[in-house]
Amino acid sequence: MKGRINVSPGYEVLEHTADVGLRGLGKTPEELFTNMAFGMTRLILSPDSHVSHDEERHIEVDGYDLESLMVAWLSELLFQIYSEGFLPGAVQSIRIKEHRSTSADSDGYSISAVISGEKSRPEVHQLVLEIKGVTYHLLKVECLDNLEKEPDHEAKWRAQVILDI
Amino acid sequence: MSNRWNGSLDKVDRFRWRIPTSYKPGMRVPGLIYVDEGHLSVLREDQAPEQVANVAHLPGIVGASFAMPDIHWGYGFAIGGVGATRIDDGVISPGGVGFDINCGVRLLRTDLSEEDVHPQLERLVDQLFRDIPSGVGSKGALKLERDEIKDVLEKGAGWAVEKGYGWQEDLDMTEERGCMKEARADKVSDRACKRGMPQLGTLGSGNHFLEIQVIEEIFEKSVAEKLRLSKGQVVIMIHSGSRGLGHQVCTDYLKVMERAVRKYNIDIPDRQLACAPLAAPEGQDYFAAMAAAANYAWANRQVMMHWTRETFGKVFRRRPEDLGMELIYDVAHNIAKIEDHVVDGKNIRVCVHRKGATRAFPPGHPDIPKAYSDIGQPVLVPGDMGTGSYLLVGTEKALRETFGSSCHGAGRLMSRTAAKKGVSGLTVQSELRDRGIIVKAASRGVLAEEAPEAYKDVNEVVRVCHEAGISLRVARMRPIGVIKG
Repeated sequence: MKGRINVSPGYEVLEHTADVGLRGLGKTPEELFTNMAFGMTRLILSPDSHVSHDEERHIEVDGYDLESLMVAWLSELLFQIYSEGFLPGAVQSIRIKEHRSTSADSDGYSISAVISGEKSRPEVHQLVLEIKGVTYHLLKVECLDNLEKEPDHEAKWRAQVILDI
Repeated sequence: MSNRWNGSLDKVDRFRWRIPTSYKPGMRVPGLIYVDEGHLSVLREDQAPEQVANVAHLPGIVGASFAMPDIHWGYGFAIGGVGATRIDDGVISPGGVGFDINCGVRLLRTDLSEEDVHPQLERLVDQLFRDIPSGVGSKGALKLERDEIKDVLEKGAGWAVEKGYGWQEDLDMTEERGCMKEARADKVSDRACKRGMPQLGTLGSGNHFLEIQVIEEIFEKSVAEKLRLSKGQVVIMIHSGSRGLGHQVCTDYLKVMERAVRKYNIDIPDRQLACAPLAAPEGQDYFAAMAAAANYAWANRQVMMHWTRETFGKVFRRRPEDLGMELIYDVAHNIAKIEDHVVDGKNIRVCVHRKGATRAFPPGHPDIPKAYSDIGQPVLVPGDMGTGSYLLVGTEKALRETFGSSCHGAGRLMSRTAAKKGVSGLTVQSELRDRGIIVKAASRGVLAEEAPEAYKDVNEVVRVCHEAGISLRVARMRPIGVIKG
């Protein structure tokens, strides 16, 4: 990874030799997950592709910890985009729940979200990037309370993922 | 983030550098990197060597954690990484295969010369671009029924030939005859099937391509003669993988492996190396699903090759058979295979993970086509759009030293965003045209990302493999027509 190339309020794109990285910020875990979803979608769609909010989809994913929850969340969005042809336009609601018991077989966190968007239309939407998968490589989801604060941002949460492209 | 790697590297010989087990607690075997001394500083520029050391932690790993000369920073394994684990007490890791399961290359010969093709080149490239779907999320002309995908997953290239996409002889010239028998369709999720069904017979995007190439140089005349290849002859190379189906299989099983790591108390230094014992249900299931995705990839390349033959037939108004369009070979370079190898003088069965590495079996090996038993298995090494690609053959030394593995490509030097900043897609296209290379791509962005400057010099990568003896350089091809995603 070699520095930032595109800074926007909620996320930034990072360079990686063979892949691409995404770093996001948020005041709450929910905002962080929303910003990461937004950042990844912006990587896939050309900047002039406008996505309307014709359809809503309910999404539920789980993960052992917040890191694996992030992988599950972004992987689910990739499935929606590439397999269902459903382009996310906005996260209408999102709730992250922590569960009490975490055994080897059970997951500690879950997300319940409603995404609005529309079915991909080639005449309106141009997909410019095929992301093969969300990796655990250099994966981070962290609370900034005990870490250095991001300059000029009220964020309390920060995440980083590397996407295989 | 891409700090220089300052770990210890001991010189073994001119082309081999060892990361000793003392480098990091928990390393079960040393790391062994094939690299020319002159390229050591480039090697140290990122954390790829650390990934070689991380792989050395996998339970049951034997010999060494290897990296081929095209090594670069990946996730889990480095790209160019090879790791073999014992099947009785070792693990299997999706991080040693990657998301694009059985990404691979096939090379098709023709009886045509560059002079024959030149007047038709523009038309050929246009027609191939129309006939072979490419680009992000591309969908194929094939309409698979829900039950048919199961046959694709369990029969691989054989399914395609059965359906009329190709010739029976093609299977003889495909690694594993285009079908890993361990594949089980019921281990592939409905989601993965759904993602893969519309994409069979598509090239995809990124570094995948279909190229019309001319043999520019022959290094090993006797081997080239056996392959009926000579200077000036036109060949076709197809580089593609298992598309969304493979991506989804990897995604699904990474989650399974994350749990398995906790269940079996496996200690690994990188979550992307999540794995399960091969003997455990999680390991068995992943292997069966991975094999199914590999079969899908072989069917995919087989179908695209069939359409390529048809296109040439249309343009030259001759039957593909009369144009000599036979498959030379098809190799996988992202895969895990169960193979027999000699380790410390003992014959053992291992699971060889090749992540951006190509199998390179020597003459006489039982797993290579009979027709090649006296020359060795063809190793296909795609380069960038401007420099060219290589045909090599496997060697005894590779079998002894690297579990029969060699390099898989040029290896990236520059990130895709950096490449895009340096040059525009249109510039790449017109510069290549000035050099007689016609390029057609679904996206201009991809052209910039895949600019020749973004890659290491494939000539150097291949030279190191050749001089280190892990494969024998046979021929070099330069592209004249390129289809990109």
